[in-house]
Amino acid sequence: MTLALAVDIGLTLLILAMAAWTIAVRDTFASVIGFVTYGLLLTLVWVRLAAPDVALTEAAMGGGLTGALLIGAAARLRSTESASRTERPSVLTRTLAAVLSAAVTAALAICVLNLPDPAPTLAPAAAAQLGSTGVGNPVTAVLLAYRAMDTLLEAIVVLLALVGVWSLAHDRAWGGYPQLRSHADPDGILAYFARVMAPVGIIVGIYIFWIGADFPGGKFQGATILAAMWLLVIGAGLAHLPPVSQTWLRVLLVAGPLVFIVIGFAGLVTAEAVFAYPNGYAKPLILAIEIALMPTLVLALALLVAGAPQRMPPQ
Amino acid sequence: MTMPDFLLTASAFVLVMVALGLIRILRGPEDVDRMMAAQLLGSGGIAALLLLGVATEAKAVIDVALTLALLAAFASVAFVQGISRPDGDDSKETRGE
Amino acid sequence: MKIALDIFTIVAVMAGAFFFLAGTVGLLRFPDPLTRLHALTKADNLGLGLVVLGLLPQTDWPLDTIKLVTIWLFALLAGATVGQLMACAARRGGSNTVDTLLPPNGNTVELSTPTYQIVGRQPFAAETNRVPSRHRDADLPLNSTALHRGPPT
Repeated sequence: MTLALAVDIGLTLLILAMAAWTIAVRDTFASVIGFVTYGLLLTLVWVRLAAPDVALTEAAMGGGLTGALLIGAAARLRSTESASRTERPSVLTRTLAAVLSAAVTAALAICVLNLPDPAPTLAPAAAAQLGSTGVGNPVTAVLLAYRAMDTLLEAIVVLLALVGVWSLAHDRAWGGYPQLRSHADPDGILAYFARVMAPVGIIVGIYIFWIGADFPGGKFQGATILAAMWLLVIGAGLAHLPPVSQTWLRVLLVAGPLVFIVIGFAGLVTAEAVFAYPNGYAKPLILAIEIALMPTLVLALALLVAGAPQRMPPQ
Repeated sequence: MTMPDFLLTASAFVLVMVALGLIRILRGPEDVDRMMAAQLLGSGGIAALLLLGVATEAKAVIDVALTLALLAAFASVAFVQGISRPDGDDSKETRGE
Repeated sequence: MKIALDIFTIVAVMAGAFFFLAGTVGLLRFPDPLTRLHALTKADNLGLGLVVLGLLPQTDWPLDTIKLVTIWLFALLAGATVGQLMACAARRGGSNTVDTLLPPNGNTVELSTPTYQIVGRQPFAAETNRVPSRHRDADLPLNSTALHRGPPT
């Protein structure tokens, strides 16, 4: 196993170097490329740590969608970047920032070094109860049965972030089309690419979502792939994002968390507690929640990357 | 040397190779060059993941590679669009000239 | 039969690894973005393709095999598309590099104006001077397009 150890040490050094470079480089675009590369390396690290669920999320979120989000932000910052690069923060600001960073790092280091060894784990308990949830993937069981409340809050956080992005819109564009506007040639190579890639990508996204019940995968990863494919089609000029004032869009955005909350509180009547599932119905209910959350997540993630409304709504 | 050992060695070799390519990210000089190094790391990372997944018989790793292949392509396209629209009228450039 | 398939795997995976080696060497050693792109696409298409080909006998039919082939097809499609787009960006954006590629006929000033420049660093002087001659001809059409677009705003 010395080979595996060498690979692990190499990966660790590489990812540290990449992180340092991403922070140190001053050009925003170069820094975003560094971040995307960092996400790729992190995916490999999670696989080496035998956490394929996390690796899948990192591959979908860290490299793909977050990369696109940051690139969009960097493109918008371009006009102000050269101006901001000429001014230097004062010595006091820089000293304060250094002290603050050092303090956070020290606190993290102390926490990590003081972790109990062996670490306390609930993994055996989670595995023992797996049968009662009906799902085969322990990660899905944790997310939607043992800790369903956390997953609900996560979905709501994504929606709140979207509301936050929308609130940056100009008054005149409120409820209008998000900024993402394609300049691509409808007969160009990008349109061809999107035409071939998107249908296959949608199948892969649904597959990753479906397989999540028993193997690594799930709604977040599947929704990320579907959102990326949607953005690809829009970026290629083959489709347009709807104005954010559309009723169907807002209904779909709230539907997922709403179904989750209704099923969760129904547990008070049918089972003994909130977010408890009645015996034997755990798997169908988990599936219902996942299917309801799917459109919400796809829409919310795609609209987050698209940004605030920029153009006038219809009428 | 057994088959899994060979595949693991190949995985490590490919990883070392594409990691060396990251020097291009440091040197640039243009963002396009950096993007190339990132793309090479993407392809090499997918190859390394597949070799690793088959060697250790971890089926889920193949799904990770599949997701990575899709999203890496998406990120590359988003990136090239990002750097090539300073004024937004470059639609003709994507036509084969 | 098992032995033959294993030998096939070993040969194909080693060939794939060689293309990754070649791709990295090309990416590091070639003098300008277009030649580096050439090296990159070889590693992308052939390197990953040969690794996938070599792994096929070791995977379970049908789902894993289909997934592996799909991954390679994704990489091919993405590599071809992104390669074209990156070449466009390199020609237009990396004006400092492209400028030296053009024949010195005096009509090429547009390309060095800021309109066509992307955010990035200036290439090292040593890199732009080592351009192989065959790329001079390849870039002639770009010159004419640049003139068509009129004065930069």
